[in-house]
Amino acid sequence: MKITFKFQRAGTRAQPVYSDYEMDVDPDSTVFDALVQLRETQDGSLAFRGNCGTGFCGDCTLSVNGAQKPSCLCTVGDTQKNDVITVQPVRYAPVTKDVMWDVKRFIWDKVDLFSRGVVPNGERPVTDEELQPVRKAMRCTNCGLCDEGCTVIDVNLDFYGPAALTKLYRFALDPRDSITKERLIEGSERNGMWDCVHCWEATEHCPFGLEPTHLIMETRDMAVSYGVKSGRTNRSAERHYDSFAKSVERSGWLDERAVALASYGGLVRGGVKMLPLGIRALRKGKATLKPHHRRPGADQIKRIFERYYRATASRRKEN
Amino acid sequence: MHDVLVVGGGIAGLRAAVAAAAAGASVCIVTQSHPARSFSVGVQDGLNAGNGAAEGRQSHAADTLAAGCGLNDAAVVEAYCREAADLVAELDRMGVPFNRQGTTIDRAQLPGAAEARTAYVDDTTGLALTQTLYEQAIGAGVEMRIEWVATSLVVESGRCAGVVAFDMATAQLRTLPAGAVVLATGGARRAYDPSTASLQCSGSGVAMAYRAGASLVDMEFVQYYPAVLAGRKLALTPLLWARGASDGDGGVTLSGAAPAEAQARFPDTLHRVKALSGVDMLTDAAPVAPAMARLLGGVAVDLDGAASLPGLYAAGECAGSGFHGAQGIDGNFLLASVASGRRAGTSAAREGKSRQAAAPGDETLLREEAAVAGALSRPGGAPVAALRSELAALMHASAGPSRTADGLAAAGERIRAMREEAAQLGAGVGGRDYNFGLVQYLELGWLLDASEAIVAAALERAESRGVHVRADCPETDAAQAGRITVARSDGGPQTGRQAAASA
Repeated sequence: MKITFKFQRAGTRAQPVYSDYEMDVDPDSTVFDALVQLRETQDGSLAFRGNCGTGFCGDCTLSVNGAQKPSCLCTVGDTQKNDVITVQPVRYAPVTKDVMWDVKRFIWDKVDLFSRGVVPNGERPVTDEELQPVRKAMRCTNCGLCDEGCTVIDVNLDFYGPAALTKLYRFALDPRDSITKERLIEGSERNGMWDCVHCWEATEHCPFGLEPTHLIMETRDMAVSYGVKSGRTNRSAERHYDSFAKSVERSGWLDERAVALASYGGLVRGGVKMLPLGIRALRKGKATLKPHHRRPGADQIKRIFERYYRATASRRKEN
Repeated sequence: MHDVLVVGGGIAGLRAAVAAAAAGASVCIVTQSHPARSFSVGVQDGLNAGNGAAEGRQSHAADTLAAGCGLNDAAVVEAYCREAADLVAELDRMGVPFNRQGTTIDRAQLPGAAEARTAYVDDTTGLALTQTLYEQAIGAGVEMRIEWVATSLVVESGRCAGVVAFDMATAQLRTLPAGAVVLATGGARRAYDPSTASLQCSGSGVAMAYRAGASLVDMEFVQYYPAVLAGRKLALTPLLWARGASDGDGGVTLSGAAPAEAQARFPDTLHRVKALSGVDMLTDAAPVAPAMARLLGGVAVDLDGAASLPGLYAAGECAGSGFHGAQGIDGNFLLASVASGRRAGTSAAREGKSRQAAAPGDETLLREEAAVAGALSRPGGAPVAALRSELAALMHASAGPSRTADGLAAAGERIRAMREEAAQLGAGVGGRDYNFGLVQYLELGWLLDASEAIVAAALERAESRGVHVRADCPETDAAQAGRITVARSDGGPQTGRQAAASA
């Protein structure tokens, strides 16, 4: 079938500048193979990545007709709309040339932070069950789609992002490793796991169903069980975590003002930081001056906490 | 200046780099794609390695030798089979999460194997090995020049003293001097269609060594894999047959296996087959066809990975180690990559560290720069793609599963003519920033050279043996039990014969 490829060569995502190419292509061809055919026969200067063509290498992630995906796992026939395929770089990532994005800045610099190999803890026998989650995380191809969908990266490119945190999870969970706590501390630094806002976009975006958001939450749980709630230079997550839990334990629900103040370091420092936001929130009716009160059933919630403390006491002693 | 320069960032290259760094060498990897995106990630085979017991080693060696039809290098087979258990244990310590039975690493029995000896990580062993070795390389401080293309070896006073390479972002060529060079560039699958080729599987290492005067060996042995997803490049893992898959109407299905177990064992295969062909293997058959899957030969190397050119080493698929002989068995390919990688890296470190090499001269750099400048000024694109397509069809028809002397001779003639046609072509576009037309043009040259050597060796071997099937000489000839080498001389391939080393 004859397809018009609109290939972004300049401009921005919102205001793209395309070059148009027409090519006869097998509708059963993958979009990636078609793009390679286009580059090989019509314009060798078209810049995009890709290697394996079968979904393993994670290199060909693109925005194709507005959807971000590995371009090798979709066909031309299924993808085209009115015989047009539009190719753009993924969102958020800085662009190097055409649709080629800065994969080093966007993925590898962060992933490499968590690439210290297993530091063996001796010859403790390890069961297959213990390794299953490690294997699952190992299936991550670093294709970048989770980072590309990440609402935190959207506003802070330095956030480690779900791809790097998936790698952290893999090592933190590996029963053969002896520096788990150290890894969890590293992952709790500024821009680390505690900056995740659990919007679940990463889980939505992962083409292999690896549920990165869930993995980040599990890593946080593990950090807490190791007594790690913050990095060496970043205490705000710990304060947020503790005040959040304390608020729910005491009153049965969230005292937003108290948590906000505590997260930023107490009444004085937090007050200064939060004052402008607090005033704006009050004006818009999103905050109230009424005192926080215990909600009905708060006693039952407190009992849940007590049960949790009992259940985790032995585990915490071990660490 | 590095002690060791590794060209190629797949499993063999990473394993070589990690070994060289562990031996105290300064190491740099030059690789066309990010190492964690090399085609090694797509290898779904397991890795043959018994538990280290003597009987297992002997049975592994016996299977390997039987498949190799008398052309294996017996010393290499003995060494790789002996080291296999240690290589797997070492990878496990590095972090590869091998599947276990209880607390010991599980072994699957692949079709044709005398016993269960294949260690695996679900159906993503290649991905797990690549990622783990990449992490080890990062941890060992290995420098990486990523998205760099090596165009030529630098030979100084009869020794390999580095490579000329360029960053794809700029196409500015540089000499990267090194005490020793390890080639780990993989196969030359794009010389064939159908094949399981990744985009960059272009035979560059084989071609660079060949051009520099190094000997190639076993080039006539080109192995097809019987179960490649039809019309795609996905080779279905041999582990499928060890775990309940069956050959049904027009394809391979897991319909006879317990669905939950199959889903747990083959998550990636099921996902990719569904995405690439729309078939759910749990209920239906995935259509498959044979496709060219690997070179068994390559740069002729000894047990330590050393090539005939001093200072040059090779590992992985581009190395003709003699491990496979005339036919490789499933599960031996990943083993060969890690075994040859570790050996080549260790040997290259020893040599590279001991050399007080002066910086090589500019001769090679100037020659390559002139070649690139010429290519950038000439037309290319579609005619280059057409030549490569023609080559791939020609190689499949004439130097593929069935060959004849006439067909091979004609293919050799055509390849010579294609080289002349290619000399008139170039990149098609002039810019130096991410000029894929230039890379495509360079790759055509490498593929033509690798094909030339394959055809010459296949013509020389006037018998059928292993995966080399000559329709005009269907019998195996005991007198031809030696290995065939190919080296370039006077611009053409010169074949030679070695005595059989298998006995």
